[in-house]
Amino acid sequence: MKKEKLLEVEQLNIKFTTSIGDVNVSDNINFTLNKGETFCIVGESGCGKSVVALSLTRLLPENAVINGSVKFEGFTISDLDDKEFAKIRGQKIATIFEQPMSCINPVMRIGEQIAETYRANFKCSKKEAKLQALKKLEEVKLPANRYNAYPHELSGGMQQRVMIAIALACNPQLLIADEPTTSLDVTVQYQILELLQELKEKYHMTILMITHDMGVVHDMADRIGVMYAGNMMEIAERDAFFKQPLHPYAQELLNVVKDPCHYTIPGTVPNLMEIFSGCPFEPRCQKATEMCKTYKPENSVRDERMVRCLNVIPN
Amino acid sequence: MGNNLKTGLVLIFVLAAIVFAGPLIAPYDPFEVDMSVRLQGISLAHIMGTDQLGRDLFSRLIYATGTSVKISLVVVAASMTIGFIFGSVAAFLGGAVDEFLMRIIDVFMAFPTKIFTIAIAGVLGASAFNITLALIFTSWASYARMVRGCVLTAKQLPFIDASVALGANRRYTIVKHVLPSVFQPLSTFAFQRIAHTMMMIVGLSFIGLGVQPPTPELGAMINESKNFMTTAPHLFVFPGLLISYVVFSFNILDDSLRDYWDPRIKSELVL
Amino acid sequence: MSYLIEAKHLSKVFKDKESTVFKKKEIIAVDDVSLTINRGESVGIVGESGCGKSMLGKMLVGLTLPTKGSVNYDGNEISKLPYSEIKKLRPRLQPIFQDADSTLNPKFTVKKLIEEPFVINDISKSDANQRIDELLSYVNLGKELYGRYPHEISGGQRQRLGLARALSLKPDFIVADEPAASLDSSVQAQILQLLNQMKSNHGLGLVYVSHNLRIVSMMTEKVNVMYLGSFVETGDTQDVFDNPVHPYTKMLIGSVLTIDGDKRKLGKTKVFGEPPDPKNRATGCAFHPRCDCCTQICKEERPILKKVGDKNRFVACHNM
Repeated sequence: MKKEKLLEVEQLNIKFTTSIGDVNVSDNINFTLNKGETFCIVGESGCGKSVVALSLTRLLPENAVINGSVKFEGFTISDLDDKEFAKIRGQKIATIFEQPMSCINPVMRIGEQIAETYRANFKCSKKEAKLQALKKLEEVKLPANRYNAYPHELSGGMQQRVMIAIALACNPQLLIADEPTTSLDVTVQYQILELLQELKEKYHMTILMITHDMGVVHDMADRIGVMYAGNMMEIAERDAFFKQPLHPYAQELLNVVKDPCHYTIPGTVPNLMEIFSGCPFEPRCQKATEMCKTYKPENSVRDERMVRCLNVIPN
Repeated sequence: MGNNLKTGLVLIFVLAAIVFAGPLIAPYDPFEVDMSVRLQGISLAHIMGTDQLGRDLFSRLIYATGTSVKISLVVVAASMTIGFIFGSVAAFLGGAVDEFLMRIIDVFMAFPTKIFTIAIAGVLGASAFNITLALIFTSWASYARMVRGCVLTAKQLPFIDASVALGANRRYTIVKHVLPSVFQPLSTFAFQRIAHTMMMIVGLSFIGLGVQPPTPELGAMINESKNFMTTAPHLFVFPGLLISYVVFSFNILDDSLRDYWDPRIKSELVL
Repeated sequence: MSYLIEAKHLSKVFKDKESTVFKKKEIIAVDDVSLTINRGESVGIVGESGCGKSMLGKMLVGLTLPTKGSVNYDGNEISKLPYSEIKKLRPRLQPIFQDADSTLNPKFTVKKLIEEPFVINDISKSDANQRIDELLSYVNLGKELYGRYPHEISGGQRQRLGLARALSLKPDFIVADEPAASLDSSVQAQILQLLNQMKSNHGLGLVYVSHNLRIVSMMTEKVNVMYLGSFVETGDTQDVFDNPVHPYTKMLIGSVLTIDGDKRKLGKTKVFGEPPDPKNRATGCAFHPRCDCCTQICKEERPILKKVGDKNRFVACHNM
């Protein structure tokens, strides 16, 4: 069965121009999101995963140069002007971040914030918006008496729930979650992830989740993309990926996560200001050959998985 | 070193020359009255003209800047010292001593600076010495509060714990870690206050409560010139410009020094 | 045999900021906790944020004095020693902090930071330099970093610099408070391996404080589960993880997402409630509002640690 595609990203290149040179954070990245799935982009800090996600909603600073095409439900949204794009961002794509406090207004009651968002998108009466906001609060499992609470009166987990409620207020088709549980306790993380899973099924949402935590990926993802130094190294279905990752980086990463007391990946994450003549992972890769130093690997497909490695033979 | 800092240093250097080497630069005696050249405009002999008593405006301005800046330096230095002692004693000793000193500071903070200075000038008589005292009296408390805050924050910084764990004694942590973290915000604050204090002195002298004529002082000079506003505008334009110049140079220096001292911002500036 | 560290009935109580002259409010951060650590042994302390685990760690290395109770190091009670003795002792007990960044003075260069322990303890330049060379190669840092400030090096390098500083005076006891929490998995692994190496090479006692149960299960031999200031379950790590008894331990272990096995864990365990607020402690068993097997006695009476089974296991729960 052919799955319906919601988002197609092709040849996405992003760089930041700074006074001391360009920083390449996304190098020819391609990926698609199918309707109703959870796609996790996983990678270490500084690999560009958050930038890729933010670029989809045009939330990057002004010195970012973005090239490539992004199609949403078959429409090319990458060449819409900012005004038209804002509509899509409000109504179809919503984002939640790691630090909810940086995104919710600290001096506005949380219920009003949810209602405001709803009103801005659906142009309805204040009464109607309030009813909707109460409904959203219930959906994210916050008691209705919290409607009049200010954000600082809530714990970190509850703030994250408020943020999810605000995101849901516009019934988005795509929810981008950028490290939504990183700063939370394990028990709270568990509950937030459960909530996301539940809401995803209820609203047939598609989730693009950015995380560095393999445990979260293991439980949430339907498909996984592994990023390293601005490159999408591997894209695979979850089961196949955890059975045997194809890219050497993904393999090493899984080993380290499984047994941090005995495995390490030697070397350090490269500086994104460098321009790689070969594979960016080559200096740390145990399977690297002479070829890897000089030739840049292209995207190749093997067993319906995308891999960017010269040593993986496509079929 | 950023461009702002360079500009600031140059401006301050010029100012320092005016303040401390003033008598060497000034072509005339600022007190010398010569009614034959009264209210003259700009000329070669008097490059900024003369005032209503025929005194050379340029020379008077140089002395006047000296008066204003010197008073504000004294005020700031004295209140900084008192504030530093009070604030750090309160923060380091803590407990009841802290509570007691803080209440004293509260009392001083509660004085409305301007009105209080006016009152002092009224009681003791208007003079340069009296406004200096009055300004120190009303401003040291804010330094004390800020020092106390900085010390309290610095005392809790994790790197102090780390060095205590390595065996550091109290003196070491205070000298190496706490005081350097206080020094920087304190001096930025003081630089900010120099400009502010100068505005106070100028303002008070303008309304006649500060430095008394014939001593040249920027505010007092503007006050004297107000009767000749239409006929001899240079009499208030030049002192006004000088005030702006002094305030601007201290502000720009304060701003750029803050950036310069913070290693984090320094590396961002390179980017 | 005497223990390396023996903590007896430790409590730490703070005055609440909201307390007034008329109404005193207290926050009990740590409540009557006892534990022992041997040489060459690693002990884990796990719990949610705000459970007092970091405060306990600070008391164990003598950075904070307990309100009640005592910490004995090699048989000497730390809080009763004169200052000169404490100063001698300090280098032997080292903390490693969660946030390496904030434990390094931002105005010091790497060189000054690595030399600081030797300057503090008046160690001669030549001895210090020799030791510094050893340390740097041990934690794999190069001298090319000497001129940099802490914010100019990477998170992993900062954490390794922190490790080097803690190790510089050859401690026999280390409390590592979430030493790898903010690091990427590959960097985290490097730090963990360094810690393990230190433990096995120098036979030091290690207390590993963390909310990451997976890492605790791999790093430690004994584990103490902490909830709102007191231990609710203690025992051998393997045993506790294989067969948790206390409902809170079960909840914690159940909520850790791992990549072991094929099955997803979400939805399998009942997890609810927020990490508790020490200001509003529940009556009876502190955990009862979040417990799904709570009975009347749990609301009224506070459970104490009782031995369970024939192994070294103690659990504080009424329903065993």
